Amino acid sequence: MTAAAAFTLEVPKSGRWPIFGWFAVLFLAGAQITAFAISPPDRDMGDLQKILYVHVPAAWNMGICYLLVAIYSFRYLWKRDDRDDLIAASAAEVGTLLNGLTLVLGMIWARPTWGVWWVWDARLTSTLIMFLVFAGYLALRAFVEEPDRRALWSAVAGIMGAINYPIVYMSVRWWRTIHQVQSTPSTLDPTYTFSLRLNAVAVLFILIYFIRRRYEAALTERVTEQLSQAAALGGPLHA
Amino acid sequence: MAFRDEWLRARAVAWKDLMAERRSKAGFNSVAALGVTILVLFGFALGPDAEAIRAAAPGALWLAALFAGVLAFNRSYQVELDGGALEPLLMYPGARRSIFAGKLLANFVFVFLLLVIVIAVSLVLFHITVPSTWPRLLLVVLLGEVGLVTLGTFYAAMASRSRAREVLLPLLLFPMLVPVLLAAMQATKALLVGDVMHDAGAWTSLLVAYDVIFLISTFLAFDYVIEA
Amino acid sequence: MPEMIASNGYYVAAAYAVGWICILGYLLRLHSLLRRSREALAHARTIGGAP
Repeated sequence: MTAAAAFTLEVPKSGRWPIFGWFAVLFLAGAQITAFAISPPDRDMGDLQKILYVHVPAAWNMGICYLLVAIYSFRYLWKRDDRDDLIAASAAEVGTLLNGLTLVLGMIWARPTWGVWWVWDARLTSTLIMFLVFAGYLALRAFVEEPDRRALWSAVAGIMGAINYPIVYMSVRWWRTIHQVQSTPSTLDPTYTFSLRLNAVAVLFILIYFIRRRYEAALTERVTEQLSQAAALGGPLHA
Repeated sequence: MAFRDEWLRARAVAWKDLMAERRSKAGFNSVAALGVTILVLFGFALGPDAEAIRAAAPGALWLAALFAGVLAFNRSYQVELDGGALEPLLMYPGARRSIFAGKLLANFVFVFLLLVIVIAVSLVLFHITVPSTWPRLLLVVLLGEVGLVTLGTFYAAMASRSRAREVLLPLLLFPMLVPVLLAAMQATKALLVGDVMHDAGAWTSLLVAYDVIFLISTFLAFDYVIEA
Repeated sequence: MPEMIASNGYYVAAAYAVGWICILGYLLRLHSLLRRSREALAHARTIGGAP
């Protein structure tokens, strides 16, 4: 799995992705302006509701990231393709970023709404635990140098982390029997739902851009590693 | 029969680990001393008020077992890595999962002895009266220990072979252990105060479910972890 | 309560500021990472010969 498969990796090309990056950032700004313009202040929450246009999309997309980590980790264990490992790692990093953002925005929303920065409710607590699990995942990647070992171990750690989420959620829910009832879109103002979905799509574009470019950087690094390894082992490389 | 062979292999690995531990002596004694020290520190943190100490006892007990246990999990691979004995062990015929089972068994015995000491000391320090339902309490302790040892032994297989193992093992292990610790603490607490809310049963079932899920997934994943 | 809504405005502003700092900060980090990885690749090629 080391030398033979290694040279099938190609240097990734940026292609039109920089343009997509500009589009994603501008689309996010546009989505936020639209949400501000069309949705009236909430009856109970007032302007605070506008925080949710960033908080909720970040939380949804965080879930997508962790799902990608689990899928590509399984795929790595199955096919042993280095690229799957790098995609899982990129998704984990972006997921952790969105996870941190979700937590901080949730706190900023909770302070004026509930009067406290933090409540030990099931969703909040399991989101925090997920953040810690994936901080551990990223630390594992940082502390293991050998690429094949790092890929295998982080695939396993990523899958175990994903399994852990529902268990943490259930146990914290039992621990704190009082929990907020999840609001369903049907009880909400239609402009609110539309704005929320628009912003979720905008964050999804940002996520795609981030993961793609992070993967590009990781793959370039990997190709460089292999080149210098080959150069150290036996002169100039022709592959 | 294949299963019998695997069991014999696992038992041999466990026996080897336990004998090595027994002959070194320093290992268990210092880990147990650390467990007691943590309990004393919890006593100071929770103040001289007898009621507050008693209420926090289940949490303190499990955390002392956790912090002391983490040392045992890393040790269980460390001795072999230092002696260069892990590779020969992996070269023996048979499934690798029997090595995991053996290490699990050895760690289970080790942490069980640790828990006996920690519980005995907390009975004294935290003014706990043993309830009449003590067999159920014992069941909760054993189930909680299974969860702790399963994940601890599994993640130590990675962490002990990385740089910075002292940091990496707790960082990987503690967030994963949240549900088992929460369930074990709550069940212990419920049984110690007489289970007026009848929720010890629910927490015990959660512990069983947790143990089963993580025993299966770690046994499936161990081949990948040890292969690299 | 207008005074309450006025003070809530700070929370909304803080939330959006945090969001954009997070996204733009990661964007900058990502681009410097991309640049450095390409430079390292170019350097490795000059040593080891072009693939």
